Order: sequence, then C-alpha cells, then structure tokens
Amino acid sequence: MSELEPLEDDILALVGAAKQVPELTGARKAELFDATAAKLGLPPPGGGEGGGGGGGTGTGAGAAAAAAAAHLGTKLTMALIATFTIGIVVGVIADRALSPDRSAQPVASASVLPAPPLAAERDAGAHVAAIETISPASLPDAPKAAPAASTTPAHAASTEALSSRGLAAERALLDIARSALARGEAGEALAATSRHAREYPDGALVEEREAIAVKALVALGRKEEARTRVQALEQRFPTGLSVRAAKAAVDSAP
Amino acid sequence: MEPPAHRQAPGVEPARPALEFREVFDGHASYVAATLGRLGVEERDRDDLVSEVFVRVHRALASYDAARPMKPWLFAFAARVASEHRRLARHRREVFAEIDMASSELAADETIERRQARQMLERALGELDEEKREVFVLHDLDETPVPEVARALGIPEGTAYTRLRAARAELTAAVRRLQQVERRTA
Repeated sequence: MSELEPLEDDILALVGAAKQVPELTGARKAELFDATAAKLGLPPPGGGEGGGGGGGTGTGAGAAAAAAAAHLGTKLTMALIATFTIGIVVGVIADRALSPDRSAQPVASASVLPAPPLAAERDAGAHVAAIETISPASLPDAPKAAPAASTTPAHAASTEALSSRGLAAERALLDIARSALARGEAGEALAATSRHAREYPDGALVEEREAIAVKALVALGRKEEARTRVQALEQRFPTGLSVRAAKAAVDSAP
Repeated sequence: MEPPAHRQAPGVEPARPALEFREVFDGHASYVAATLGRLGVEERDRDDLVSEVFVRVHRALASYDAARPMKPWLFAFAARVASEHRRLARHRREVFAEIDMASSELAADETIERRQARQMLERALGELDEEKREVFVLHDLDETPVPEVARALGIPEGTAYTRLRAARAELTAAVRRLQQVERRTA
C-alpha cells in the first residue's frame, strides 16, 4: 500500500533545486506584517516594539525607499525578459487550453482543513461578481491578446511586455504609498495614492489604492474623510480583502 | 524556530498575542508565500493571500498544538486560502498568466538556476489537480512525512499515498510536456 515509485533522476533534481524557500526581504515582510496587523486591528508596532524578532523587519526610511526602487527596477527588467520567454508561455497556455477537465475539477479537501469557514464561502457569488468587473479591457495598456494564438510570438511578446509594464508601474506606485505609510509618512502615502488615481482611474489596483488612502487619512487624523471613502470602497468592492483592512483601520481610529 | 506553546483556552485572549504572532509571522512568512506560489497563486495576488493566511492563523493560534510541526499546520491554512482564491479567480487566471511571468521577482537569496527550477516546477504543478498538488508539495517539497501530511490535510494515510503516487506520475508527465514545448521554441 505504501510502496512508492521513486521519482526519475532529472525530476528529482528539479524538485531538489526548487525545494529552497526564497526568503522575503525584511522590508517586504514588514509591509506584509503591517497589512496583516491592520486587517486584524492590531496596534501598529510603534518604534522598536517587536524589534527583537531577529532584526529582519526593520522599516527604516532608507531601506523602504530602496526596496521600492528595486521593486520597480526588477519588474521592468522582468517585463523585458518576458519578451524572450513569451514563446514558451504561449505554448504552455495553448497546452492548458487543450486540457478540458481543469475547469471541472472539484474543489477538494476544504472541508477537512482546520481553518474555520469564512465569509468567503458565504458570499463567493458576490466576490466573483466583483472580480468580473475587472475585465482585461479595463486595464491600463489592456492586453488585447485574447486571440494571442493567432498573432506571432514576437507581436504577442511586445503586447504583453507593454501590459506588464502598465501593471508593474501601477504596483510600483502603490508600493511607494505602502512604504510611506509603513514609515509613518501618511502625507506622502496619500500623495502617491492621489497620483495613482490620476494616472490609473480605472486601474487594476483601485481597491488596494483606496484601502491605502483610507489608512493614510486615518493616520492623518482625517477620520470623517476616511469614513466617507471607506463607505464608497465598500459599495464598490463589498467583499474585497483590502476593504476589511481599511474598515478596521477606520473603526479602530481614536 | 518553532513558536511557543499556547495554553489559553479558545476564546481567551492570549497575554501577548501580537508579539507571539509576530514571531510566527517572521519565522514563516517566506514559507507561506512560497507555498502559495507552489499551490498556484500568482505573484500579483500573493501578498494579499499571505496576509489572509496569517489573519486566519492569528485567529487559530490558541488552538495550535505546539507538539506538532508548525509548517504542515500552516500549510493547511495556505491550501485552504489558495483553494478559495482559485475558485474565485479561475476565470481570469489565464488572461494574466503571461503578466505573472514578467512580474515575478527574484528573491535576494535565489539564484537564476533555482528560480528557473522553481518556475518550471510551479508550471508543472499547475497541471495537477488540487488534491494531488497539495500532497506532492507537502511531501516532496517540504519533506513532510506521509503520516503528518495525512494529518495536516485531514485524510487517511492510504489516501495520501495514493494521491502522492498519482501526483508524481502526473508531475513527471507535465515536466516532460513542458520540456518538449521548450525544445520546440528554443
């Protein structure tokens, strides 16, 4: 019953090479922790609290700014790399499209896992509806590549590189806002979200932007504005993950 | 580093929840992020879902049995969050598949070779169904013994073995297909 065929050598080598877990940078981990703490309504780790946790979570202004800059640079570089890898990607996607049973696969084992059932199950339908409003055409530099199979790889590559740059630039702007917020520079964070709103009014990351803006307003003591804005956010993304964090920030404001 | 035991009864607020939770977070955020990737969560969604996993972990921390290894316990949360996410995002996944290739980041301690291996494996894992993928990741990548895999996923050991056997065969076939595609496009 428990006899297992060993993996073939080259597959074993591949698995071995992929085993190492890439370590997140301290700045990214700190951002992630702040986002999680906000969702949970935990008090922000003011100053050095929790600093004994291994020194990997420093949020110094310089480190955060450098991380944001590196983030942008990396993403743009990766967009260029996409030009060379797109042939493989198109092939893989075509391959996947030929597998008819994927969309019908059962959602398995959820009931046996320890996490308590969340609202996500209850309002899955509403969430799907919210996601559906993000159509490819609404994205900046929208990838008009639905018929990618009928275009040449080179053409598809340049189109995708463009759309990647659009999304990467959007994310980079919000990374700047997040980093500023993490450093306690709420004014700068709010300015970055305003810039995002101007440049990507219907961008792919509107929910995240608005959530950051709400938290920045709370941090600036502009609670009424924050409340108005979070209500609008809630109406637009009733089940969004970021919305809960923003609402928690407003509710826990003094 | 394993987190300290939690002795409070459910519903009773631990004395220093934020600090202990932070230890768990700092010690395992990278693992959770990597696990979500292995379970098919795209790079652009990973931050949100890492956060979502830890929100649930925070709520359940009091019930964590410190005698058990932490990673399989965390894995179960990550698997559930990834599963819910996949269900909600299925229809838009393929539109963005190309973008993810471009936007994935190179971690500071990851070599190009390891990154390529990871990406190849993640693509191949994408061919497996959820049940097989979970068992494969937990056993063959995380090196969790089968009895612990079964416990973490709440399945009988025999089922874990069956899924692992099938997962290995399917993963091998998927890697072969991807290698063929690479050779054709090289």
